[in-house]
Amino acid sequence: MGSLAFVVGNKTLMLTPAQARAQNIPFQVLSDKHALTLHHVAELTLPGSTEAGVVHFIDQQLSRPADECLLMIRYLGIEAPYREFYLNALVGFEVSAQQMFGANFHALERTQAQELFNQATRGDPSGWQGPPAPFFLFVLRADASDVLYGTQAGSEALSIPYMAHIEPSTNW
Amino acid sequence: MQQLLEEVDVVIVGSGAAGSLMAARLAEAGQAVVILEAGKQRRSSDLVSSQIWARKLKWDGEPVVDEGQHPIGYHFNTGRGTGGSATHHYAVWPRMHPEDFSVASDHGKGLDWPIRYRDLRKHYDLVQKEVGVSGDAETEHWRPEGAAYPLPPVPTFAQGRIIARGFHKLGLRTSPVPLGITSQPYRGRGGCLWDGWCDAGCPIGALANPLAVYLPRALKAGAELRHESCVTRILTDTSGQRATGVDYVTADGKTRTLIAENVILAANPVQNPRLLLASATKHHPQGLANSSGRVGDYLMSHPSVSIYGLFEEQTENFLGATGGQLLCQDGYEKNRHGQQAFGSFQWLIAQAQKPNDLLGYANCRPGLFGSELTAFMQQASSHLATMTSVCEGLPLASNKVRLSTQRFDSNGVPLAQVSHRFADESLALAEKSRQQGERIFEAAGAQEVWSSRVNSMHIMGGTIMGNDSGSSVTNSYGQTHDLPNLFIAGAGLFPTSGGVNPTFTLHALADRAADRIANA
Repeated sequence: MGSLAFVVGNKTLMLTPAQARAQNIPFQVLSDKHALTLHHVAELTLPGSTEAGVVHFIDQQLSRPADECLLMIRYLGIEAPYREFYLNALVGFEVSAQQMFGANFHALERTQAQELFNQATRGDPSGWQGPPAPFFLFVLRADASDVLYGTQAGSEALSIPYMAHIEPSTNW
Repeated sequence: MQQLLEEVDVVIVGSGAAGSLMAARLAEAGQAVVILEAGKQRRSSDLVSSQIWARKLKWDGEPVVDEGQHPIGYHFNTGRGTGGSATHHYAVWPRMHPEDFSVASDHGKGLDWPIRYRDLRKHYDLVQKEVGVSGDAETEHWRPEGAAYPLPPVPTFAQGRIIARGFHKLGLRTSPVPLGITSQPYRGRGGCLWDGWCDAGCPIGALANPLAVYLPRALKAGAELRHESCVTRILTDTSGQRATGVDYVTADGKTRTLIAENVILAANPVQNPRLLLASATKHHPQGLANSSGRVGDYLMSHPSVSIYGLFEEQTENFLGATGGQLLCQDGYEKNRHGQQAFGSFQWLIAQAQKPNDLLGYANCRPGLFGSELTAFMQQASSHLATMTSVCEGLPLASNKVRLSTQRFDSNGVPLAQVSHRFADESLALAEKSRQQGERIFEAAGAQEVWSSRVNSMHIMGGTIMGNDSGSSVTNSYGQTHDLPNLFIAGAGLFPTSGGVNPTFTLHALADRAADRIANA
């Protein structure tokens, strides 16, 4: 994956999402609570995507001007800015977790989190607020696939050649 | 102090496929040409091999309200910046068939074109020679008359061979798919490496996007290309009889005026009618070129179904072109699909695949999550095969581009509001293709077969050509019936969609129109 520009204080660091995660780079758009919820939902969506940095990837892309955002949502019929779409869905997971199990999403037992997640793949879970839950998971699934598989490392993990004409080493 | 107005022979709105060809032709004929491109500059060296990066090539302008039972997928199917949508097109370049031009006369459905295949044949022949189309005319049994392809066809890799045996078991024929991609070095351009990066834009110039062929010719002949120059209004003279030029807004927010002898709208089939409707005057209260009331009507798309299968063999699906390796047009006869279905369809077979993005194989099983998704990705990367039907979408007057009455862009121009649904007969045709496609994959030996929903592929219509000024917007040259020096170019002119990809035909139409303008 190409490096992204992560802003830390008054410095801009060029890092891959995985590096940004490893270095615990502060989020620009997501609150720590949102980020924690997103982390857990993303890992249920596509295992390994959180280690690949999907939470930092989404946060960094949402911090950019709308016409520079490269998340797949840009051509799925949702108008920019996209941060409300993500934030509202994360609130939806929190509200549903509280209503169904009386706890924050990240604090749920694995079976509880999986039950809520499975409901969200089929329709809005109990107490859900925000965009349609299955659609949000379709979008998040695409983001997770971008980070985990849409890279040279991802191709290697799938045992297929990447065969770049121009390697994606530029600042997205 | 009086402003000095800039004057040229021709102003072209949009640097996409049609606009770049017309710019090349007219500049080479000695005319002073300026192309106004609303988007940013893209160079071949900017075309990074990444499905994520490739999203920069898609539409990033003002939003389009994309509504209706079957939205056209505007923000995915269009592009902005140098080369427009064609910079990320897949370069599948079949010709339309003679019967596509007379559907109303032959079948009492849809519309007729004001020209016939014979009128376009020489333009197809010329363009394919300039572009370097690769194909095999001998085995393309359905191909209309025309010159043989200048380049040998795309090679058939494992995925193509595996799927082809299903076609052949059912008595269906395949041929190499004709591609606007150089299968070997051609006229200073390199040959394709078959690595499937077409959607991200081809930086080696093998794929005939505008950056590779017609824009360089246009610029060499003296045409000027201005980026981030967004046209906001077409100007007319005081009598309302002629277009006089355009107003456009530059990156610094300033409005400028360009006076021109001829104005050519070569933006996409949604933005052209938007601009016409937004340029209403007292002489043209319904919008320019709209005395028929048909500007914005008959917007079309191809209903399309993708078939997927997992095979025991290695499919090597990372090899080839994004558009595919093989073609089948045995389904092209329009009235042989049962009582409910009507139209032509073709199969594009064995597309090169990437794991991510909207058409990546992660999205072909959208119901899989967690460890099931992980396992599928490992299997699909080596064993998945796919093909896609391109089905005729009948023109419906109710499919429209209109101006929003509530919302405007930053320049004060109303946003486009699009409403689209497929005709029932077109949807039935897509379902027929699904049934056939699944049978083909089963015959080919797939261990598991499934298919996509019906999707919208390509955008056409909205400013249709015709002989009758009361029911169409332009004549067969794209010259508007109402204003003789205002032209439209591109797939927006199509009165019907046929069952083939539109890019080769819109090039041929643009070539024919450029001849007319240059020799007027």
